Amino acid sequence: MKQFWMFSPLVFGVLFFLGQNDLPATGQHEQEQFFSQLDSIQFPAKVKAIIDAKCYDCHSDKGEDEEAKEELLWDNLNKLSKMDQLFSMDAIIESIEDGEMPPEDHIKKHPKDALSKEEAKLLIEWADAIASKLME
Amino acid sequence: MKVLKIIGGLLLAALIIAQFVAPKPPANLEENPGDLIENGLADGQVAQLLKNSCYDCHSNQVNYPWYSNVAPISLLVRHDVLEGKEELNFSEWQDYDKRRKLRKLKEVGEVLEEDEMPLGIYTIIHQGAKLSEADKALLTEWSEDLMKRTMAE
Repeated sequence: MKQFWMFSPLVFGVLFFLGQNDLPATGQHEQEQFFSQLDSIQFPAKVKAIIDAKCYDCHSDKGEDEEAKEELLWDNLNKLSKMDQLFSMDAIIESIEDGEMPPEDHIKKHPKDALSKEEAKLLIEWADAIASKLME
Repeated sequence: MKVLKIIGGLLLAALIIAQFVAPKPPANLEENPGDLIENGLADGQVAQLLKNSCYDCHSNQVNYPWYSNVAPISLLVRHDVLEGKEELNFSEWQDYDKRRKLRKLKEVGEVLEEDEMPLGIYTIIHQGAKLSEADKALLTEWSEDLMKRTMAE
């Protein structure tokens, strides 16, 4: 009998977990619960250097292209909801993989802003790690 | 008059040559095991709307009219279909991972809300592909619902 009570928190926990899963994720609150509480997005020095050199001209407050700023502002990433952070990371990965970023016409004018294979890989791995953490 | 004839002749010759050298729009694929509708993720009226208003650029099953193979129209069609499929391909839906599915669905809602899609140049010719407010509401509701289902997976 004693053993049974030792298991009761576990049973309660399992029931609670199952109950949670039955809740439809509707509002912002539930959506946030879906994502882990990643404290903040960190920028290792190597990643920061690439961003500063090759992305920051457009994707920062000093950028002149409104569309670019609407899509992504590196300095604002930590102010976004977890869900939007996830979407930003996924968009970063996809746009680099598809060769959409940096844009072709920009590289024509500024050849030095092209991403090397290593730089692209580093950025993708960084964004992928954050996205995976957000979905844990 | 003679000059006009020469210019006209040259243009005609260029148009004929273009039929042979201009690249064609991407070919359709018969089998699409990862297709969104095939996998039961949209059905009924929603599936109908997607096929009718989105699948002509965002799938491997484009309904190409005969003139889409005639240059220079073929070049415009080719460009829009290639870009459309790169951005979102409903025929390869199951190849996206969970987070990308969620993001694509969120973007479906955004382009509908901002009337970015279907493209104006497409609906001019395909009047039947225009989405009414009710159509848009239905698609938006569907995308939000599929987001919830995807999250719960």
